[in-house]
Amino acid sequence: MTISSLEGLLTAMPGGRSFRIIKAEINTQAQSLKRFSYWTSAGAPMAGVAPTTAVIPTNATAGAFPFTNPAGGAATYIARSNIWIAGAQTIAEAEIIDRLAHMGGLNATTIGDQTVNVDVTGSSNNLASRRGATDYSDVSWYIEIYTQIGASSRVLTVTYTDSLGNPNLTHTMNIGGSQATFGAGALIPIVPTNGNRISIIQKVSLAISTGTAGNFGITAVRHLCAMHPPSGNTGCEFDWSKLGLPRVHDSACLGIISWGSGFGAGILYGTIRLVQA
Amino acid sequence: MTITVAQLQRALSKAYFLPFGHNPDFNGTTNRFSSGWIYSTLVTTQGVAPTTAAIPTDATTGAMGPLPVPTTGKTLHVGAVHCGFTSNDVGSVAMHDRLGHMGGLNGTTVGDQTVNLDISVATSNLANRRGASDYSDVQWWVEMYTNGVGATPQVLTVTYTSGAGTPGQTTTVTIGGTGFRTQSRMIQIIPANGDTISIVEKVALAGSTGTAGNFGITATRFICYLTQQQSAIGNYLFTRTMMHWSSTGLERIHDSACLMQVHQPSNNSSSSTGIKGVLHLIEL
Repeated sequence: MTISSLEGLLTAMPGGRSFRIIKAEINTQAQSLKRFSYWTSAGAPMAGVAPTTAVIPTNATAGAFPFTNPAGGAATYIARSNIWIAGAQTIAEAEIIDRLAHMGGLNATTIGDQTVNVDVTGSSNNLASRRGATDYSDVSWYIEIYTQIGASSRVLTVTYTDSLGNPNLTHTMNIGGSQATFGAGALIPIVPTNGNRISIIQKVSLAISTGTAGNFGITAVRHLCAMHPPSGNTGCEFDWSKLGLPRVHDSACLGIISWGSGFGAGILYGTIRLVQA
Repeated sequence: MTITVAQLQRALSKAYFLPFGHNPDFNGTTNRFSSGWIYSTLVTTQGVAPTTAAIPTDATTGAMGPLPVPTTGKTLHVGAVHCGFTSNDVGSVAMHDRLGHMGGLNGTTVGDQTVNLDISVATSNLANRRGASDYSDVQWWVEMYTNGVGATPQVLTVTYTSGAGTPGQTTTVTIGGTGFRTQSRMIQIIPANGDTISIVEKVALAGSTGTAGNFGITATRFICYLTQQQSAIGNYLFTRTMMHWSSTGLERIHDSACLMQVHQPSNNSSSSTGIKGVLHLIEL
């Protein structure tokens, strides 16, 4: 079943579940117009752990919103949400994402190949539904910084398989150099310049050390919805029509990222309301 | 039961208006949560600081109510909410069902103080009011009843029984000091390791905050949320904000629910700041 009518939505709404959001500021030096992940931020949902080898996290993974998959073929949706972003200079957007796959433990002083093998082509943990469009256009890829790496901006070559299955394609980008590219929580988009879409990231390779090993990884997410208070130290409430009533597929690993307009990622308070029908 | 658009339309047109209001405000401090429980003097009656653990209801002094009794076969839901703030206060108001509370804890007592606030019971329709069977709908707070505990921040260890029924679990929260001591302040208790909480057994301060004050433990269930983005222009009647059914989610109000407000201001509000609004309750 799915919600296919306004009546269906009205009937489902009172039966929903609210999940609390309280997340500590992930990076007080976060820069504007950059994304930061709250995966390892303390609070509710509880802090996630920086991964090591590539895995497909789910709603049962520590750090995810702990919703229960519906029974009897019912579907889950985000019906409303409110978010408050605390921080005098923070005006930000908070996004709810499905964390499709991740790995960590990469070293920013290691020159040469480091294995990644993050693969979202499989069907484990309901990934076939969670990743969305068959051309992988719903999947966004990021470098995620778990522990601050070096301050020197260096070229990183990302080797990937595209959405058509062609392996060993490469994309180069820089990591290190500013809080948005070396600070804890930073998400650095991996966007192939040739318009390719990525299904697997096989390895990464640094040309020169950034100066500090840190801990970084590769994360694939699907963006579900966004909320944006009009200013720092204030809140907003988004109903289903603003959120787009996004579908949350079974086993989805729901997490939060911010996209700031100010300085500092901010402390997050709020709720998301999931309905199932 | 299917809810049709026509049913919703009829229900909204016959909404029961439940007013609420507080003046002065709840000692608002930027980004901090404040309780409306004992600052209920404008419309809602003023609540009383509890002593031993109790399950408040809509008949408890301080609750928004009494609640209307729905027609047989119908249930009560939030159709809309609107309110306004006075002065330069901008922020949010969340409606909660106050599931359980206790007070009389001392900010200078080092070591164990008994709480025994248990919301696993069925008293006063709590089995329905608390929501999900794993207690994930329940939020737990330290609530300040006097102004306040001391100026020295101290770690408070909270010993609880998890939602799975495992007793003796612990988590910590800091109370006392700037922003965490004034009357009406609510400080969220986040259980360890993603737990939920069914019973808070006791609390223990690591050291004295410097002043006894009076604080307690409160359990609530979040109902709905309202934000106000613009400061008042001379009178709060001109700066109201309204959230309609899609924003309130048609949240169910269970029988005996003890409705209260939790405020989160965008700026430090003065003692003259107030809040006044109306909850629109509908039958579906």
